[in-house]
Amino acid sequence: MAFELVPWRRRRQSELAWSRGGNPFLSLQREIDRLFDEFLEDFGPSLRWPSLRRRGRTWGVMVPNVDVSETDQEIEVKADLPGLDEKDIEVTLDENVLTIRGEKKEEREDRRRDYYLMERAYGSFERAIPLPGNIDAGGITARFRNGVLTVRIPKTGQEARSGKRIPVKTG
Amino acid sequence: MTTEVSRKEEKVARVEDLPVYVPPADVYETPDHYAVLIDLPGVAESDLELSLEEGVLRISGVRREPHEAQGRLLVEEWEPCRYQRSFRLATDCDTGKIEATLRNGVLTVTIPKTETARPRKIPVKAE
Repeated sequence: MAFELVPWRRRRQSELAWSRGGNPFLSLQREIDRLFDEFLEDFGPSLRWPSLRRRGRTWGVMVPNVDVSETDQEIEVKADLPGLDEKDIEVTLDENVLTIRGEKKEEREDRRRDYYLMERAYGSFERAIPLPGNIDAGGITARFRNGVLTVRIPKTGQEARSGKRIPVKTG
Repeated sequence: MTTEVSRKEEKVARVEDLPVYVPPADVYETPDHYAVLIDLPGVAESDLELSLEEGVLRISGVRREPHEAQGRLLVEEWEPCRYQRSFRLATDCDTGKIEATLRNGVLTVTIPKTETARPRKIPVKAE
């Protein structure tokens, strides 16, 4: 089986408020990806090889992509968790840090399978997102749909208490 | 920061303008079928298209999913996009019996092998 080359768009090198303070390994990976992109760009479109740049993954280790956005009323966190069930996802809030944990179990035990490609990531992961103090811990909701986890955190004027587990709903 | 968000919303409006990404895939073969698993987070069933033309299985999906909060983006690691990937099928694929399921953001395509390609036991007769 052959897979074709599809050009991908170069990532915007925008400065985002929080992304620089995140996972240092992920930052390094993204920096390497960016350098790869720039290097390949010099050779023109014919040499762009998509599989060299694997979005959201650090060489087989699961590092879910996360978006965080904010309005005056709430903070929204969205994480890509394809292949997980909602029961495998744990969302906790402790000391104003929202933590998303989970494990994607290996499905590759079957010995009758001969693999041509193994690009999808497996294993356990954890991402911690620091939140401001003025959040309503009791009003946090988490929803899992089409492999994307959406956590919505309402804001209040009061300081949040620590240690809370947030149930994940489907649909 | 506000221009960042509005750019994202504009892109949602026109699918053909969305960036194209190649999603990660697993492909394996067993004695009786092939399977393709592709990570397509954020793609709804209605935004997923599979086609088979001249032995090439083409998978394309659109991730629309605008930010519900519609606010200031603090961390951006994904964006609305198009996922595209295609695979040339082996000649022993039974293309009439391809099955595809989308679950929790993962597309699984199962392609059975033709009857003649499957391993089978040949009975030995004693004389």
